[in-house]
Amino acid sequence: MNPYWLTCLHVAQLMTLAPHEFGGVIVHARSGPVRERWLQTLEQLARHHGLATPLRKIPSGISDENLLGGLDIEATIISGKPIFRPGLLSHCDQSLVILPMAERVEAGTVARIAAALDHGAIQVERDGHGERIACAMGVIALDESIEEDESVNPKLIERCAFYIDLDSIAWHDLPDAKLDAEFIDLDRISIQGRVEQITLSDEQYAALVGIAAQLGIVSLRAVQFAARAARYLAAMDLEWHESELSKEHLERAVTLVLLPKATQIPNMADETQAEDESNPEPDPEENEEANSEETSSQNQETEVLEDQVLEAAQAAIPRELLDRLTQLALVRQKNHSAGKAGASQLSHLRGRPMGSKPGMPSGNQRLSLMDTLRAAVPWQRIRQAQLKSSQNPSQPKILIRKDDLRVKRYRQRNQTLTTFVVDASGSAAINRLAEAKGAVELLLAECYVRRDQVALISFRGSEAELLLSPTRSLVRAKRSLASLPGGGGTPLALAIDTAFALAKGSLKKGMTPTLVFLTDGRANIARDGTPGRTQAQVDAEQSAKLASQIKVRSLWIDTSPQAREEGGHIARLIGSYYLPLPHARAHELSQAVLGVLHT
Amino acid sequence: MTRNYPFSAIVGQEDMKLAILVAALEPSIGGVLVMGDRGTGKSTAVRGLASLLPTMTVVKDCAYGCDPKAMAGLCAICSSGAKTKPKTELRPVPVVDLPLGATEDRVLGALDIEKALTLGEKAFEPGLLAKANRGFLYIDEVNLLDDHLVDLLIDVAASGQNVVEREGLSVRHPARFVLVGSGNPEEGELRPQLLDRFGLAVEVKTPSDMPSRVEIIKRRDAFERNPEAFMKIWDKEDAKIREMMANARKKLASVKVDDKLLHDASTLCAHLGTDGLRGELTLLRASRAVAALDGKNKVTRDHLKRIAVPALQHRLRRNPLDESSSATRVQRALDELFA
Repeated sequence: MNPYWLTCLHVAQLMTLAPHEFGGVIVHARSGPVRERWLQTLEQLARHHGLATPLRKIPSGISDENLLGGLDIEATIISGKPIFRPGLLSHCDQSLVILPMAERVEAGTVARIAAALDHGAIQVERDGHGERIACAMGVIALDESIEEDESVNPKLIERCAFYIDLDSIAWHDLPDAKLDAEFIDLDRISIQGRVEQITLSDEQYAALVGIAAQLGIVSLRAVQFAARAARYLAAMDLEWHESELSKEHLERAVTLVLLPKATQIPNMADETQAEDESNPEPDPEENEEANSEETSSQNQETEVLEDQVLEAAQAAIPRELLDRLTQLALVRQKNHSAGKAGASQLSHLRGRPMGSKPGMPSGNQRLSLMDTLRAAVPWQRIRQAQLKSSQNPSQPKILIRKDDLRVKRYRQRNQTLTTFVVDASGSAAINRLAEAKGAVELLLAECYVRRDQVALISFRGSEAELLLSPTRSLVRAKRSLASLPGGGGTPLALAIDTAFALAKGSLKKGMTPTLVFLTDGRANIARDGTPGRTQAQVDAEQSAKLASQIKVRSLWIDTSPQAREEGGHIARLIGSYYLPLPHARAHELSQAVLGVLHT
Repeated sequence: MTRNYPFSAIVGQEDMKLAILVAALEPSIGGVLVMGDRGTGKSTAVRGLASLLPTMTVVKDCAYGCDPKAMAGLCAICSSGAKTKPKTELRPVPVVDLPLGATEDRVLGALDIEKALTLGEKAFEPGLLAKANRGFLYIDEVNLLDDHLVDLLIDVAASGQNVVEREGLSVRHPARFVLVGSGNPEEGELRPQLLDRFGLAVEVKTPSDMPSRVEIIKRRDAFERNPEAFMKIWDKEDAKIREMMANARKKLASVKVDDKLLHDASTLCAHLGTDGLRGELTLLRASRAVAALDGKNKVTRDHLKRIAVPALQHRLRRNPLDESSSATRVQRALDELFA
């Protein structure tokens, strides 16, 4: 049997005992029998502990109206008084909800769920209705992310005590289903009664905080969850009259809560040595207190406890899984700093639907029937009274006025991606490369100010390489520029292909791509990587013609000392703005690019 | 009813606590923005604020909480009856939550659906902005607020008046409130226009020293296990802050600022290149509030230094190639100029 399965069952147990206290669990798993089995066990536990079953699901693209509530038009029209239909979250108090495809949930939805997790309630202020509704729930977030840049919103991860990875368990490693059932025989009410009596000693608190530091966990929410988990684990074990929380409970709490959130795993073998000689992070407070002998001995005790607990906890999670989790945590830390919310633009036609606004439907604005009805409903009595007084014989059921008309609004991401395609071949003499680097850096600064994204493709030898995938991080961009090597042939066709493939991809994501070529345009490597000026030129022309079908704004800076026909020719084929800049310095170059980009 | 964690029980985060108190003491500063890491007690601190505020006198039954002593800026009902002396009542200063997903009608106010449907009456139902008049409007996750709501807020916050002209309604009412926002900068930037509305901006970080971290966890756990007992312990500390606030409020008008300090403030702003007078004005008002909280009669350079970072850091032009944060730049300037 896979021992990690037990850990996963513990998580299910705790989540169903106290859904809201633990916020939730991120379940990293593809859909499959192991996940099914875990969810079934969870559901059984939930039923046993008196939670509402079957567990509700929050679909990833849920609208505010369905999530938080809104005016029920049908019921309102029929009854003649306002009827507010509560949203999904209103039904989730004291229960667990499932969030499928958690990695795809919109930031706004995550924020609303996070607010419910923080306060155990939601404040609804919608459609003439204001109410605070209890919503002490726990979230089961099913994370099916595969790619590195996909991950559950950090805001949600932060508020979920647990993270389990079911992909690391093979189906044939699972024990007999009867064993899962042994977990179920617990009395929720008496455990909750006991939890309040149990407390951690100062040493135990300190040990948890110290372990979190060793694991590189910054946020204190995680430590809080760990303390809570330890108290619950103790309550599950203990008889009524006892209220001792033992080292073993701490170990399990660390296994369940802290280890999966680690960004670094201390190597326990080296630990004893390292500690005596140099503390990795010298703590000024600790040094101060070291004077008093009493505190220092107490500190040592804490440290011993810390190490013991951590060592035991580490043994409970397979090493390779731990390593992968830390990797993931690091990726998440790096990625989220890019800021996913991004710029978005309201549009009448494209993008995700988001609400409506008053207005007349016209060619590019579509009527939002529900919103129009919603706007008209409150006025019905007033209008009918007016109509009666004007003695209009034919009276329609619903009176809609021009003021009521609502048109749909959509949110469209409208972000600019500027991709620099830099010729790093031998023919683009090395000094020109330095200028290009300087110019790119200046432009990056400008893009940064406008919150645009930049990418960098360099081409030399027999390949074109995406050196920097679209990012807003200046630091990353600068680093990849600094390491840009020069020399070799000029595979221009490949460069054009790569650049336009990237542009096409970003168009699909709703971005506005712009390409900036910095090259002397003298192709000498064909698409298949073989040298030969003639074939290379033919290939480049062909690529250029294909590229011209994709409507992307581009700028072609000819960096050759004397402007040559070849470069200009290719640029014209693409439909690029052609700019010969034989003796430009970085500053002029960047000005030129900005001039084109801004028009 | 959920209980708010007491303000005084928050460990550390002195900058944030000071900025919140200053913004509460001197509403003309224009509120406070608290941005920072997850789990640092941002919204805890703001929610704790409510219990530190004294009560205010309002015109009885006024939906907008009009000030009976005010001459201008009253709502339509209060100003029409200005001749006769209105009845008054005491109310707690409102701290109104603007939740994400709120609809326009609830924020601005709109036709009262209930009355319209059942009585056929055309009545205005005041929104959150009316509730927040003379108090605080708190937006958690302010950077995730829908754009069209941000536009409305900017407009109302600038004019102090909410004008509703739609659906056959025509209503205007006073809406002067102190904006309090919190959020995580990694989840998206704040619109510059909105950023500008906040008088003070503080960045909070999770404390990294062990003793504070342990203390935070211990207090949190104690609060969770028995909120009533915990509140009882900290009520006294909260009362001390409340008293300090009340004293500062009396003192504020008489706190003096001499020319030397004005000069200091101007030098600092010029050195940092903050645009316009807004930075200087905020800095002065905030320093004065700090002095009042200290119970001093005169603003000193020390008061100015304590509040300079929150007052100025969000008004600097961003230099993308300079990786140091705005706060460091203000701090550096302070060290250079007033060492």
